[in-house]
Amino acid sequence: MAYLSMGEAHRRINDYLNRFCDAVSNQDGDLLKRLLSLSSNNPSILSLADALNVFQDANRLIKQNDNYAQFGEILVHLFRAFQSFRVGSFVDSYQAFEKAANAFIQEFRNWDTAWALQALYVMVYEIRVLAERADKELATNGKSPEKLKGAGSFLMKVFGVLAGKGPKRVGALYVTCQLFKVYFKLGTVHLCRSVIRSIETARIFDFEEFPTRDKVTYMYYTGRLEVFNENFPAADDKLSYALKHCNPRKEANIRMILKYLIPVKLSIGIIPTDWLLQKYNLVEYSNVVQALRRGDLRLLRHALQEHEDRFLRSGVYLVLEKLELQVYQRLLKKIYIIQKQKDPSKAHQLKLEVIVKALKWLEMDIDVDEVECIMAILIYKSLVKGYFAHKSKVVVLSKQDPFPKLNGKPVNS
Amino acid sequence: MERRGRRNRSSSSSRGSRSWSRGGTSSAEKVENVAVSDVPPIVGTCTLMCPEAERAQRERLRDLATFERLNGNPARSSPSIAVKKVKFHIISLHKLRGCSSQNTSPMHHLNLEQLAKTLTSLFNLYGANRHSNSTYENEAEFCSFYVLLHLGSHSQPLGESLSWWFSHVPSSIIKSKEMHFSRKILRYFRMGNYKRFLSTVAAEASYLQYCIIEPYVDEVRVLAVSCINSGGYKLHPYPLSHLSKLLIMKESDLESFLKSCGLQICTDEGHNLLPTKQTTFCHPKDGSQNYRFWGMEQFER
Repeated sequence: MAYLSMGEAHRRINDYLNRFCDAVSNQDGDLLKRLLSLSSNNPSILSLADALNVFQDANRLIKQNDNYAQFGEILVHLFRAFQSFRVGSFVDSYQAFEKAANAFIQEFRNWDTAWALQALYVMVYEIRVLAERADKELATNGKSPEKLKGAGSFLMKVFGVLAGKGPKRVGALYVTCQLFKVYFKLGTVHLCRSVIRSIETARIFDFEEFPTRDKVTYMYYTGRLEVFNENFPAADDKLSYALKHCNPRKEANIRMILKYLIPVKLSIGIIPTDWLLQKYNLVEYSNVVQALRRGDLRLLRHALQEHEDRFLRSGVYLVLEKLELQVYQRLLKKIYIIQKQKDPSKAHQLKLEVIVKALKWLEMDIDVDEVECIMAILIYKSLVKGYFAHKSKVVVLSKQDPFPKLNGKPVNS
Repeated sequence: MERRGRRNRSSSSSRGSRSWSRGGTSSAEKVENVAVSDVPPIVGTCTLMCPEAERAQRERLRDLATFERLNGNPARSSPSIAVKKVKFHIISLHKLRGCSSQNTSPMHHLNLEQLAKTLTSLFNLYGANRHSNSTYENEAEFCSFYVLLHLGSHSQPLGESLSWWFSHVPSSIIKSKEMHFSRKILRYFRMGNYKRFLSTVAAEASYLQYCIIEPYVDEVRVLAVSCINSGGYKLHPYPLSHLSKLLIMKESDLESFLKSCGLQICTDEGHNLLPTKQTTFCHPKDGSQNYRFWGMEQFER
């Protein structure tokens, strides 16, 4: 750090304090939010932090001036947070920032209009990000990480402040999304339920009033939850909404949505194009899609094995595994088409031993009893129309539409 | 569980152990009058239950966790204790199902709750005490139990979906033999592949794994019968001899099972057959007989 004189340090601190008070008195949300952006390595905040570390008596400056003193609770702790952040003490920084945020919320409650909403968003964002960094520091030092959990409790408090009839309520969805990020990081996704219930059932909220950006994030996270619970119609609705309304220039976000939407679409019989997979670098799904097109059970199993870790980490593995029945359906359809070309009059009768042979070519060691079992399941789940004759070891297909399409609905459970 | 009175207040530990040896007492032992101020120990079904003095103390303090803390620290306990508790609850699943004469549904529900709690505690302990990427000796086995507990269609005994849970399991655990088995069973169950499900359970399940899987065995058999009834050719009734092999049941048990499913059988040239497309099929009532795996008597302890 270049040498910083006491005079210059004093000047920077006063400058910040003046800007803070001006922002509040002029209800300038844009200015206020810039004064709170700690973790973005904002040069002016960093230079302020340097000044605070040189001029160690900023608290006196605050108390001596009535304009500054009225926001003393916020500023004292904010300064402490900046100082600690600058020297890499994230636990201290988080603790101080949380105190500043609590004091900010008290003021925010008293402001009639929603002018400070953007600043509140910054506070909420910084709380979460700082908490994550603090927990990393704690874990490195062999201590129990607990700051992110605390941040979650604070965000719930903020949600409560926004859940009212006034104009501030449009901020509730942003806070909800930050809560989702906290719960997903902590692994406590079941805690999302209560806040989802508030958003979706409380009369004070009209979903269409929320900013588009927040609606997209909300639908992305709730869509993911529906994927984990294998509720495919709901997952399709939510993730498709997120995709449709996502900024087309945000390719990374589109990729994140598609990562979950593709398995959902596959489960309801809709196959993405290769172009889409290439454009958004989702090539881990290429062989899965190919397996579905070809009826290639071996390829599906290889694809699942090859990307097992990735699919398990993102929570879509079990969804993709379930596609096996559709792959069987496609294989049978191919056998049927080949038979139809050879002898149309006998196409609708598939011998189980022919299916066994086809599966052996795919290196699947499945005996005739298991093939009969699979046929029974496919018929039961309406993926095949027909019946099987145990005695003659034959499947007799319906002459009308023997392989019904899913048409946007999941396989019968 | 039953309470027994102590012989006398000042019984030595050796006399106590003669009366109350682990795992049960001699029925020939006399039970003497109990002093009012005495707290009689409890004899339970768990063969690994703690010594008499500890049991008495647990009763007095009404605080089980005291004995499960390391160095008195309430935040720390021993995975080996949690392991014992989990095993106890899993075996209890099997034993409670075997009690057909009483209404054990509330106890079964409570036991399942406790199993979920102790399993969660165990996983938390594994996580809290983990050093770098190491895993505990029996961690894979207990993770496999967790997977099997999710076999039911909408089962989320621990509150989180299985997909979410899988995303946090270490790779070495995922690739273990025990998890490989559980994931296979889960796949067969979800797909409805009754043939593989039943044959794999019969061939590979450990006793504890079987205790968890047991209620789903009949569920899968019901599915199999439903599929065969609805998809089978009407003019080719299904031979019970073959069906009993598929469902790994004695033919006599199978007849009773089919009856409980509302289905009738017919006979042709001395062979019992299941006519298909019967419209009377129904799911057996809850609490109806459990049908054992044919040839798996070693699991009926």
